Amino acid sequence: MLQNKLSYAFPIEASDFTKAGDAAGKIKKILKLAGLPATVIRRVAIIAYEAEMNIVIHSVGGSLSLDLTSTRVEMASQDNGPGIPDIDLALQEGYSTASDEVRALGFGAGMGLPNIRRNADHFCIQSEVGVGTNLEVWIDIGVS
Amino acid sequence: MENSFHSVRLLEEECKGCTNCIKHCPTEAIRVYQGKARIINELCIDCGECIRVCPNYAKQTIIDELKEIHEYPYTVALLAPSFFGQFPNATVNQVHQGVKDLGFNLVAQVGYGAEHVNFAIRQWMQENPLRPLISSACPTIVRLVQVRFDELVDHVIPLEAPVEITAGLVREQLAKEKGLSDKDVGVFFISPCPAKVSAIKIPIARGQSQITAAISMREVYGAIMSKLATIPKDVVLETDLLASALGMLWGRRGGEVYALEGTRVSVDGVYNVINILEDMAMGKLPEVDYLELQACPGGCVGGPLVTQNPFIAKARLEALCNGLPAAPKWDRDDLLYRYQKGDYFWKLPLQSKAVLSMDGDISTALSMIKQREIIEKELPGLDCGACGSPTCQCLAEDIARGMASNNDCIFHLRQAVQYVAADLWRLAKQVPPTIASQQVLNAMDEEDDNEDK
Repeated sequence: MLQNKLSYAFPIEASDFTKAGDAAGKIKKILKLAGLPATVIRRVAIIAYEAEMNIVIHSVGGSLSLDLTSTRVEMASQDNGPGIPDIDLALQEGYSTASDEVRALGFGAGMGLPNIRRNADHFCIQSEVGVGTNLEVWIDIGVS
Repeated sequence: MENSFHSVRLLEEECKGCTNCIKHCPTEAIRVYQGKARIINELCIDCGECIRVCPNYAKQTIIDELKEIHEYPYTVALLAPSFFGQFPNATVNQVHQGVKDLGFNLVAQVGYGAEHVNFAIRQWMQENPLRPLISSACPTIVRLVQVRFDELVDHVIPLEAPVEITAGLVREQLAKEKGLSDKDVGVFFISPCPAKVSAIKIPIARGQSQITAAISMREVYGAIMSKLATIPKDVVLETDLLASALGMLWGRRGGEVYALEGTRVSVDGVYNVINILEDMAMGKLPEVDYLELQACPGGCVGGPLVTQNPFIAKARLEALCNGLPAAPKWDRDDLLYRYQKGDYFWKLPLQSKAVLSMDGDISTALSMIKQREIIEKELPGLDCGACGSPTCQCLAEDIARGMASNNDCIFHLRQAVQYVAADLWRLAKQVPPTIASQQVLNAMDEEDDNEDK
């Protein structure tokens, strides 16, 4: 049977702290309208926000996408650089390359990627220096 | 039992169908339908914002009346801390006595119960690592979390509100010292807000409230004002159910967290509260331990049923606290015993009320969301409210749910009329050759030319 599917893509600008969190907020609203369990919404909201902030803080710009079916929430973020030289290091809690300026705003504590991985059922990240970073996660809804 | 009681109601005959209330409702719970502003019960959190903004006083609180005290052999009044800030130049004891003189057998201060809750919060924070905790003292906030932030219900500290704790302590004392049974004692809370009234009728997470009824601060205000001058400022009160400054300051923002440890944040005003809960839901508050959230500006002193300006009431309350003992004389063993016995806790788990979902079946909900987006693109995006929904997005949602129609949008309707008119015009010009009058056609063409210019 063909599944109902909703797809969205949200462009995200680098260093725009005014709009930061908007995409995550929209994603959360859609999930509430869809009536997903609160535990799923909580995890998705945290992932979406961290992924959005990663693009705002660390990249030159990119986008966050959502694909939603009745069984799975898939999110993907892609940016256009600069890319992560050492992904294993970036996945360690507390490791951050954020500038002092960004840290002064209360961001860049080095919890972003570990937080995303902890909340996702599937987590895949690819990055190439000078090209960009692609992140793909999904959460299984657990009720059919 | 009715499970969606709300004390905020519409007075139909006063409502002019304006859009002030739909625009200010923080949960988008009001629609103007057939010229009247109807409240959607499942979404209403009894915050009273609509009561504040209605220019026609058409939104009111369903509340009990003072004359009900005659139905009980023994009556008790519970006074919220915010109540003491309502009177100029009056002492705590004068206000307390003034209420007693209305015909109550006993008056107790809710600040007394608040001090017990303060103890319970500290104990809970030592025993439970989950952070940030959300205060449960303001019933509007608890309902807001249930309705709009159900993913955060676990973070709400599962303690009874001070007024409920105070009622329990009063009943216990009366049973022990006077042998009075529960049914003989009428406990009346003098309330600053509709939310506390609702929380008495339909308690948030317990079967039945220990409070009998709620009376509006506004109803008793005049009677007490007129008595104050006859009451000595240092009148002696015949009860020990009194608050120190610690409990009394719960009446304004910041009082609840004053004696807590860790990173505490106090937020007042329902829109500010929504913003911080949005942040919390995205994991943006990692360093916060405790959130004191109050729906009204300034805290309870800004409740919709108070009589005084909230800033004045706050200043008076703080001045009164200077004359009180700073902290209560706690019998820690007794409080700890009550805590462990479960006296301070909700009797039932806090339910989430996920009312935002478009359908119980996720797949159906997804089609409806898709439909909502198609509809929204056709709407002007001006959020004028003339359709009776607060925003274009909300109307799109209502249409997708089958609760409204495209033509409720006056822009949409106007456009539809234009299409029909254009069609009529075109048809009017296509008269059969046998009756064609060149004169009329020329006049119509001329009209079209003028239009083009």
